[in-house]
Amino acid sequence: MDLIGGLAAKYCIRQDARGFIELWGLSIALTVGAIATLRSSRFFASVLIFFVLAGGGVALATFWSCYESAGPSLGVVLPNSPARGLDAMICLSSHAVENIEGWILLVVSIVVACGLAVLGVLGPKSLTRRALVFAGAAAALLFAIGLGALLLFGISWCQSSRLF
Amino acid sequence: MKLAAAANPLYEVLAKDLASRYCPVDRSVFLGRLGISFAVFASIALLLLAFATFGKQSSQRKALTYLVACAVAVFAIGSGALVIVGLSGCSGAYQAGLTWDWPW
Repeated sequence: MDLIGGLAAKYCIRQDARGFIELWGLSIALTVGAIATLRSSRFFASVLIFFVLAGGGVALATFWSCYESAGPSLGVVLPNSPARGLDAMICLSSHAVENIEGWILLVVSIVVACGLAVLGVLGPKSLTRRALVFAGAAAALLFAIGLGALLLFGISWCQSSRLF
Repeated sequence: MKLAAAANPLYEVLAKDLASRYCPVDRSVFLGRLGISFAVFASIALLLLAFATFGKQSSQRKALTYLVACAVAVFAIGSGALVIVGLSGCSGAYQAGLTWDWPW
């Protein structure tokens, strides 16, 4: 890694530190949850592991977009700066913490929905309680769908040419 | 690139910018706060370990408490390392308005 590259990497860590630390905490919490529920529900544990891996992908994409666009976003286009997708990278990078927090909320609501669904299948014998648990799962899932749509809209709006 | 940075004033400005943005106003205060938050997490992990070792609980609960204690310790180590790596890129004066406050 060259001088500018090394400085850019550390600059990106500082810029999005809050988001990265929150993602790190989420990944650890999900891993603990997956280990704890592995015996009782393999489905739920695999959902948690999937989100740990996806969270890693989100962190990598966020870091990479900041790293690649660090020079151009500060007004200096380096010889190795990416020619394509630079606006998208700057856009992702400038809203990194908000996007990561949106992602965390999305994951938590999906995990709650899955957890309630599993609980509804395995848990209460009373029909009313079971109906309540499934209604909660549906509400959490609807919230997740809405939030996911909002996140996608926000990212694509930012990446569209309207703001550049 | 080092040669280029030395030769091209634009690169020099960029390097200065990258090394001064999102840096703490006072590095010693920042590190003190980091140390305090690390100590808090370490204490929580140690308390959980002690609770799991000396508490009267089932083996399954004991294992879960050990797991949570390890998770707290791993979180503290990972986030501390991330902060220190980020901080190591700071040199020179901070830029007003673009400072790194700790913890949030």
